[in-house]
Amino acid sequence: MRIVPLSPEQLRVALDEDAPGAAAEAWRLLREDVRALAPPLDPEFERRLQARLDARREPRASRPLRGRARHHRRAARADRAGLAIPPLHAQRHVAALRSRLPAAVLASGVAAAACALILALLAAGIFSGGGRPSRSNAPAGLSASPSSRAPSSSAAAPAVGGTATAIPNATDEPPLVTRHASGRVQERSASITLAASPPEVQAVADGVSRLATQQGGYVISSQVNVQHERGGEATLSLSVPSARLTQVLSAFARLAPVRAQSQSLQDITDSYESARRTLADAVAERSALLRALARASTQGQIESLRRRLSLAGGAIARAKASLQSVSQRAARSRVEVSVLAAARAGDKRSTLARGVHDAGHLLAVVLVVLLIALAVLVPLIALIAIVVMAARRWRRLQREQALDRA
Amino acid sequence: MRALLSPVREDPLDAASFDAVYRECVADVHAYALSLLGDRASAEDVTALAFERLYRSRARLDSARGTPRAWLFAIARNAALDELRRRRRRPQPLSHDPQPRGTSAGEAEQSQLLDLIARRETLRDALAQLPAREREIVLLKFHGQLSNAELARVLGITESNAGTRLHRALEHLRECCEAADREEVA
Repeated sequence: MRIVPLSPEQLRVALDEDAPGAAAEAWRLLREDVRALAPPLDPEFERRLQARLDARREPRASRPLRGRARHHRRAARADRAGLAIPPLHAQRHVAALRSRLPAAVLASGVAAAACALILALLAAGIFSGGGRPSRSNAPAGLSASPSSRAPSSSAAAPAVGGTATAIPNATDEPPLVTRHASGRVQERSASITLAASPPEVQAVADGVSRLATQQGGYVISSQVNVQHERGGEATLSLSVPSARLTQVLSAFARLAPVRAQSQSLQDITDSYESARRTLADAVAERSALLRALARASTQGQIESLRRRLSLAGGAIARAKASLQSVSQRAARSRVEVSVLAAARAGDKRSTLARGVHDAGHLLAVVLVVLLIALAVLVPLIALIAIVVMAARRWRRLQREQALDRA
Repeated sequence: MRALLSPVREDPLDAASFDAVYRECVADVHAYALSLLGDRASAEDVTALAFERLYRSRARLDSARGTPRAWLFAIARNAALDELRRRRRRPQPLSHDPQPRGTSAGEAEQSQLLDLIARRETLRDALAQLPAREREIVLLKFHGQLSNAELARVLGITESNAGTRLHRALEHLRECCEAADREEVA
């Protein structure tokens, strides 16, 4: 039978779709002849191959059944526990996907992911730790005395509140000295830092002044700086009765969240006793001089006693002033109040709002970490993919070259 | 056979399906490997390797990537080419008896039998004259019984390119056969 040339499409139809006609039949006969050229399979080889495949298949033959049984057991357990597990075909699909990835690529990917994650975490730690001061530093700085605080933006910012100074009424009698239970005379001071939202800084500062006055205290000095959109800061120096210091601090804490608070105490019993003795001595000396003046008989004695009385009066006045000063230190406590805007020292929001804010911050950090990990992983994966593809291509080329050489 | 050529992605190749594929394809894979490599021992190794790899990779069978038969021949081709690469030597010519299969002197006319033997001898010589790439695609087509699309996947080329290359190889084979016939007549 003569083989007639056919077009590629006719040839495809003749061979693949059993097209009728003598020409197609001739090409199919050629196919059968080519197939018949191959020598028959060696029965011994076929037997050995069958045995080899059976041996390979034996331990795996029951695997699907075992898999199904295991799946059903897991499903039953999951049902009892109220859980859901993926269906068997989905697990097989995952297994098939997993088996498609070369183990080396998978291991490289896992190692790269781990490295990238570690790098990202390190980078995130460096960024978060080095970029700005940690929050734990803030209370220490905030509780520092105003004199030790470096001048900040308050100098440049327009001061709304200004500075005010009030002087207490001076009295002739020394103020009531508050003694501790142990009989000691103590000087107390405190500092407190309040956090307020930026628009509330002024209101909180006003509230602090009002409360201090209500409790028998007064404002020694105050400075309120309000910066629109950037928050603000208020610093107040107060004098309050030592006996009410605790109540005053509690009242302040109700005005705004307390970010930092500190109290200090100094024993001034010796100074107080010394001033008191000096005054008593001066008074006693004056009394003695007065009695001596009553007994004086000569003009000279009288003149001398009057001069000494005058000096004694001065000494008494100085001793009284000294005692009053010491008593004031014991009777009144100095309180430094700082009111900071929320942007710098937290805010007065509810716990829920703070929780939402913290969650948002955490999410942002996680996103940054993921972004960094992605930035490391994507080039790495691309590189691995290029290497794998190049290796495949090279192997394919080698095979084709082997065919060309054959 | 049609069932084997149909896509089987729904379920991985189970034991029964694998047995069917084995029964249908073992002779063809062996014939293909033997024709390509030219020595029986290597062909048997490649055949065994192809079936073992098919069994190992049965979970990855994907209907989008061809039938089990096409998959099997792709594995066999790679194994055979690797074998060629290792040996780095030309394939040995087939040395079997070209006695036609399924025929006997008692069933056909003696003259017809002689014609058949002569035709197949001519065809074998023509195949041997083909370049390796053309011979390979003819062997894949006829032993593997692959469609052009499957041929394309096995060879890593486009379907139209596979059709063109197959057509060129078969035309070349036909010309070689005709040239041999002319020489015989002359």
